[in-house]
Amino acid sequence: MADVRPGIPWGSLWLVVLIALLPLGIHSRYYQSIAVIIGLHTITAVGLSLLMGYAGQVSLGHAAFYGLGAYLSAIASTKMGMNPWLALPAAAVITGALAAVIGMPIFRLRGHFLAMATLGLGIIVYIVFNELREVTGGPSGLTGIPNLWLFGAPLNTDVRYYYLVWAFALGVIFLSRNIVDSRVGRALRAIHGSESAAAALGVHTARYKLAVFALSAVYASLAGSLYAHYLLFVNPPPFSFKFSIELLVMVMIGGLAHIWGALFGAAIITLLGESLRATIPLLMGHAAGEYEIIAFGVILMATMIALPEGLWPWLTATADRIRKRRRTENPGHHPAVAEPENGFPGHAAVAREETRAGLSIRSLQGRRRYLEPPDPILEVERVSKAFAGLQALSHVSFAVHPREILAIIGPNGAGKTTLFNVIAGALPPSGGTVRFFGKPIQHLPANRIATAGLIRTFQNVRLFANMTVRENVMVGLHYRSRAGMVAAALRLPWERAEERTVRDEAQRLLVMTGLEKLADIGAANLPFGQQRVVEVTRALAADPTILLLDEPGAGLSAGERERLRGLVRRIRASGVTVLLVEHDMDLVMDLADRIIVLNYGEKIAEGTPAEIQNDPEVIAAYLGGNALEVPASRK
Amino acid sequence: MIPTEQLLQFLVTGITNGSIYALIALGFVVIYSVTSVINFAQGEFAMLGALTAVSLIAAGLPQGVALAAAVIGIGILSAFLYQVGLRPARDASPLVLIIITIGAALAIRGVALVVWGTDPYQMAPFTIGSPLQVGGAVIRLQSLWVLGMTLVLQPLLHIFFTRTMLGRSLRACAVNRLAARLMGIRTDRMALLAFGLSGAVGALGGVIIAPIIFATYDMGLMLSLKGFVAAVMGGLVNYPTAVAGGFLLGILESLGAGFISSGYKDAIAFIALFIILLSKPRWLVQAEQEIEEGP
Repeated sequence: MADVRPGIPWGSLWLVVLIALLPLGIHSRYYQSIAVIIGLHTITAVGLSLLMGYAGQVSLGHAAFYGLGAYLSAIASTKMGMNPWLALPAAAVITGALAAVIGMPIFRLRGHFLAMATLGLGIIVYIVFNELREVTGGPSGLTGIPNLWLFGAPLNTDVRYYYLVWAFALGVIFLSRNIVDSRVGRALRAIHGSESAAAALGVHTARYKLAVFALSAVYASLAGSLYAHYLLFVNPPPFSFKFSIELLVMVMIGGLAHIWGALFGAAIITLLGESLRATIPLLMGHAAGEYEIIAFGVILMATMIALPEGLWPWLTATADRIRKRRRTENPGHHPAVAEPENGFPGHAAVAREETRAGLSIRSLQGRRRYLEPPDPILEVERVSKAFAGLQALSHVSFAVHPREILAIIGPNGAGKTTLFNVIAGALPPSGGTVRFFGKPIQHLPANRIATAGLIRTFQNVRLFANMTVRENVMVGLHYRSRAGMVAAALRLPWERAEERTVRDEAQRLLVMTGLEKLADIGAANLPFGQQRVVEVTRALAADPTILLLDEPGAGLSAGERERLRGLVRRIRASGVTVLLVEHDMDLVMDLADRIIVLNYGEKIAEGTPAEIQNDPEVIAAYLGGNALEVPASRK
Repeated sequence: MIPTEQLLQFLVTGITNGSIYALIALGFVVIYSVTSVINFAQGEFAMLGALTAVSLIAAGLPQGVALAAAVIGIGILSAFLYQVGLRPARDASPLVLIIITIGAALAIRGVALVVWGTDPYQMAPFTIGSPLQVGGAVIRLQSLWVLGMTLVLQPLLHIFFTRTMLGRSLRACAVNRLAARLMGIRTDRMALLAFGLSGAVGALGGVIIAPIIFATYDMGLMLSLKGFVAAVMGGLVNYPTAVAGGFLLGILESLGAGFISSGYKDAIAFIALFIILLSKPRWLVQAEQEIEEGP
């Protein structure tokens, strides 16, 4: 995982030494040039790994950015006579800006549609390389690209260029590792885990996707520029769809979310491609053709079927297992994922907790200034929502007062979750107004509503399954902290300090909800009841002024439900307003100050628990239309 | 002013090319609507169909037998691809599945390179005869075959999917796989069938166009991409509109190549793809919601 362990990273250090000494052992110019190419591929693959592995956004057109870097550098340094050292960053900036502009519409797409759009982008750029003859030289390309010079010497030998390229590659790896292990990296992985849950915690998902896409394009452009000044010649074929696929395979083999894995994948695939190109003609007689694509195809399929996590993570995991077997006497130090009954914190945890107001950490931004919210804090006015042919909500109006627990109940399909989705910005309403702190929010995206202090949980728990419990909670602290990509990449001192504060605050919350023993377990490995607790803890981390809980009791055992009751009370006692959708009537009647009843998308009743229990229309809705046959046992 | 004959000729060419996009689009729709997989190897089936048929004819088989054998053979191969490539990973994310089909497409292309080399192949037309002259445009007889096949196949598929028990079962898998399984439909077998069917449809596309174009081992990629664009134009889950999308794309390309530049012809499809995807039609919003809420 992306956690940095304290101490010196010996493995990485050895690798750096190996890279530095490698040219001493290789005298063949052919192998030296392969080593240079591996470095270029590593730079590009690391960017793609950030995009695909961490943010979970695919690109099947990354060869385009590699090509843009190469062509822009070539054009600037030949036709415009620009210094190559200026052309290189200029190309990177232009490519990054272009990626951001193109990415804006493209990253509104998801899954295979995004894949196909990026693929189309790659092909269009490739066609432009071929057709824009006056600028790119068409199929015959551009020649006469000058060498790069450093310390008064031209970088015109493979060994010199090797050190230049690998200095860049290691730099890129270093910066990317820092980004991954930061607030930004967590946000990216949260987007991968569940985009809607990330947005519901205030993560500006669209901006992060765009930023990482632009960053990966900048890396690719950088590698492309270096490629142009290495070969001193560019033409379209190296930037075709096939190269995009090769990059994809490198990242896949390297195991998506592993920065060093990208280097491993780049090395394996580049070496494999070269050796196949050398051996296949020997085996098959007639030499021409690109037979190595058979091997690529089969490797790609086999990896995806057998090791969807990638070859590199599998290797490191196997090595770990062997090492562990050597030290047999050491029993596993993982805390057992036991105590499924212990989903919600018991009395001990309650005793440990003081009032939340006294516990906020200094440097994190909270909404403490809103401790006296207006009344009503949230107003829903004539909100309607229609899906194709189905009126899910019609003209629902109600108000929520500060620090109350308001429950929304209704039979299945009454529109409760739709109402939550509309309030939290996950769905746009077809009509009506939602006011939070007196301001209309119905047109705002989910992340803006979250940063305003309205935090929701999901009916079918949406944890970031690719992250630990602790990291999940830390994403909850996302918008209360502020480190961006640059601060993270450079590990600025204030960024490290903020990171420690975030970690401390997460720890405090984990202790408060009794999860501290499970903090470093993958969130997906927890039993369901505890996943719910994690989701609530994560929501609390975002310091809500109003918390929307969507069926928090569903799927919990009786004991867990009991503890949930205590937790909700304590949340309210700390000054948070709670809006609750729940089916468990005992829980609702016990907790809620007021209740709203929905049926077929309409509000049919509103009042105290006692009033609701005696409302004939409510009884009718729940018992199927015949209010006269209310069983005597029903209170 | 554009001469009418020229415009007409572009239309004829566009409809002919559009027919093969339409057939490949039909293959995409069959697989996507049953399994939610975008099968990238779709165009490779057309390539294999064309080259296999050419080789079978060269080996002495009568043309009709060779064509049928190629279509059936590629259908079986496509089902085999599902069985060995996609079935073991069927619970993986859509992205993993799409990458597996890309891998399959590369492998198929490589094998075709080994078997047929880089030479282009052409097949004799189905019927011998001089081209028709309509309003100054020349229409080859094979173009009529291509158009006819496409127009016959689409309603046949439509009837299969709406009127037969098997077709309805396939559609049930598309709507809700779990519910279909609970109703006793063997969803695995349905997916196998969908792959077989779309492989055969794709091969048919390759076979009927082989007399018009030169078939080469590397034509599958572009056919896949353009078939996909045609399917997207038609909403990805709808047979008649997918065929219309194919024709529209063919005509756009032929007009673009004629009036703008033949070099940019291939870019037209992707610009069209961008325009459609970015305008976010309702079916796309729905499909994306399923992606987000799926796993």
